[in-house]
Amino acid sequence: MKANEMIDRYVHEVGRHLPRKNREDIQMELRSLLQDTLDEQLAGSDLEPSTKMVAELLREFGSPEDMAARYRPEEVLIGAQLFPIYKLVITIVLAIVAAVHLFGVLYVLLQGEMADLGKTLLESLFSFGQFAFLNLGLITVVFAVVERVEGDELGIETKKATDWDPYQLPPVKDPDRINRFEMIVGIIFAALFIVAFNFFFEVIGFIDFTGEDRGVIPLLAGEFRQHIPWLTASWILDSLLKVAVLARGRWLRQTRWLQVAVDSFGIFVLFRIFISTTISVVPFFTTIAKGIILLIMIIGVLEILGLLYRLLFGRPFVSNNFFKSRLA
Amino acid sequence: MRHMVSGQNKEELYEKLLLELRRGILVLAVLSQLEEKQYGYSLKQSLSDQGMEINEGTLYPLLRRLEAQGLLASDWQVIDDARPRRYYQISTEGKTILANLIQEWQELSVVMAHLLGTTGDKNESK
Repeated sequence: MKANEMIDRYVHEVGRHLPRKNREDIQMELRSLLQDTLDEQLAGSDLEPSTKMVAELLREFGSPEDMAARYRPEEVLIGAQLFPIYKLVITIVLAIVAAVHLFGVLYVLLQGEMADLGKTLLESLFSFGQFAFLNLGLITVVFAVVERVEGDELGIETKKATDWDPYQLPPVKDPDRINRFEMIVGIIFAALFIVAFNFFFEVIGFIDFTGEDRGVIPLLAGEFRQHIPWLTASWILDSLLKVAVLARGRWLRQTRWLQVAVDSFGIFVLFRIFISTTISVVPFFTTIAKGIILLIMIIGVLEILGLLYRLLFGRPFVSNNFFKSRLA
Repeated sequence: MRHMVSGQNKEELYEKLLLELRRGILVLAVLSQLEEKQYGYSLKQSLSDQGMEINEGTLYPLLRRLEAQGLLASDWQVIDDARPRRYYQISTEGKTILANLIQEWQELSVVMAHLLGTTGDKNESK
């Protein structure tokens, strides 16, 4: 690990434990302070800081959890010691509540009760909101009480300067880095789908082993043809976006906004298919397909919401580069 | 219920008490050094040169807290073509508080000197 990378990892790790509001600013200042200290240690020489030197300095600063805890405001409902456990419990409980509700919806779908699907979806959403809110409230109250009753006597150890190793800092995940192989495979598959659905629609199905001529039993209903232009448009847009991203080498703010638009269009196309009466000539497959489409739509919407949040409130992709380049 | 205090716990207890003792003093020390704007590392050096050693993990978050409380003002600046740094300076409100704290500190110092001196006398007389 290089010295700069170790600093990056440390600053990133501290940021993970900070409130989103001040995270960027504190991370920038922390980087600047580390750099100032290293400069002072190397004053009068042209040497670059070594990894060993950075590791020593980071040990003096303290473990990322410890450092972040000092930056957190004191007047909080749940203190720095308990907060990581609180976050973990909340995540687990919400994941369980979400999974139970999702299985509930899938069960209704598999039972073939399509008439009540809209009602079931609304009821599930409402029920999820209710359960999530109730559980969040209860957990928060329990943790707040524990915080106030036990306070400093909890004895939960944070990693101290002596027992954490800067060499073990996890690498910084760059959400804007692209996986070229994945993108190229995506483009190839989109091209194959376009060709298959537009030119070999009748061939998509099962081979009839029972008949003498071994012909193909089509899987998709004739009605499905109306969705093909929409699907084709969606695949072409997605492929064009992938080509643009490949050309730039990484995701940029502009291409992320385009991704939001293209993904939203894709979900719209899926929704058109979802609300259509028949997808397959086999009714059971229509139910299965609708279940899968619903799942893809839910994941897609969550991904878009996550992207939008990052674009609107999260880390600025471009403006921050100015400081990063000056700090390096 | 009485707790037995082991050697290690005694050390921890001492560290904790020392931390509490220094906590208030550090605020006074930091505020007193920020009449002129300074960035984190230069302040740490300035305090250290005058005999007030303070850990990075304590000083830098403390600056942010004092700023959040309105006692300090800060902004990012590029001075002398160096890299951008966050500079801190005492605010008007901070100056008022500092003046009051200094007065309290001076009064407390007298009282404490008297208290500790008295205790010393008592011990000696025994």
